[in-house]
Amino acid sequence: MSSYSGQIAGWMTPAFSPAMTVDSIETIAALVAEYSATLYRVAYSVMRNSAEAEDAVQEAFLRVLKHRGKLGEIRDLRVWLVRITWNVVLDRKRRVKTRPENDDIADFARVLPSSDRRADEDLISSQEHARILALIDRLPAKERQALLLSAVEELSTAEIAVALRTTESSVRSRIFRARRELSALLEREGVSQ
Amino acid sequence: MKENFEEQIDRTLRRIGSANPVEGMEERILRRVVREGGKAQRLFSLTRLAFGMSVAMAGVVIVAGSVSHSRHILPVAPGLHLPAAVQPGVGAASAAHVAPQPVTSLPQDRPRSVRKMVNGRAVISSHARKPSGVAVPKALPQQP
Repeated sequence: MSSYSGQIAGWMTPAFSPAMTVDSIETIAALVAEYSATLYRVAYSVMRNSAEAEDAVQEAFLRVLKHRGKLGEIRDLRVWLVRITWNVVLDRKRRVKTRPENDDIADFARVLPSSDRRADEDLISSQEHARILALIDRLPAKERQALLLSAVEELSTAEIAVALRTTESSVRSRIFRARRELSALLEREGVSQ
Repeated sequence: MKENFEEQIDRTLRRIGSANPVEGMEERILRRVVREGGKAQRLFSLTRLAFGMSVAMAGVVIVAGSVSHSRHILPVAPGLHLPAAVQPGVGAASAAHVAPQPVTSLPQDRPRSVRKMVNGRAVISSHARKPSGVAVPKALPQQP
């Protein structure tokens, strides 16, 4: 009976409250200002295309808007947002099935401002970079996901663990295995030659 | 060699992890949020209106169906015909109670109390066995 009435209440409850108040806009604007860059990097690590990554971040914030009633209950907004973005990205990736052909190599040029870029980083060519990314895509899903999230500097191991719904030790071992496997693949492929 | 691989992996990961969005992303996100929020609001209003109308329609259909069903199965007593003007109201006490008319028997039937009699008297056969001491009048002679 209670589940039934709960279901009815769920149907009756609006997905959006009757009025999009100025408060909710301001709240979301504050979240966008604070976390959009981090979320973009999370999305970019998987999508590897600037437009698609931005689109994924937009969709993540639309989901936030949909569930903005829960915002008060969320303890760690950043991890919550990372998780939403991560789910959006994985959904999109699943829909595409295969790795997109339009990896935006030109995006690498604006990854960092040139003043911040170290000289040795300039040496790596876009092609080499793309080959390593292709090898990363050949890693098992769990290892790959942990490795890609570990690339986002703002995220700690604990936050990655929450986003991936696992433990910190599991994340560490996944990253370790991913790097070891990637090294082996690189050796086999002779990328360093 | 292995260190070289590690460096390459690190460089690649650093590039991925330090990607910067195209300028103006925040404004674009906010614009879309406001736009989609407005759309969803309108959609919700329409959905709610449609839901309310369907509930109302369902209610009307249920009531109409129930009334129609009740009228169809209402038993009609034979011979009882109440003129509309006689109905005084819904109260049981004030209702007109008209006794049903007696049902007339069909011609080939007979009342249960009727016995076959000859000339209004019981006829006992002379061969009938009777207990001793019981006086039985003699049968009258048959009249032509």
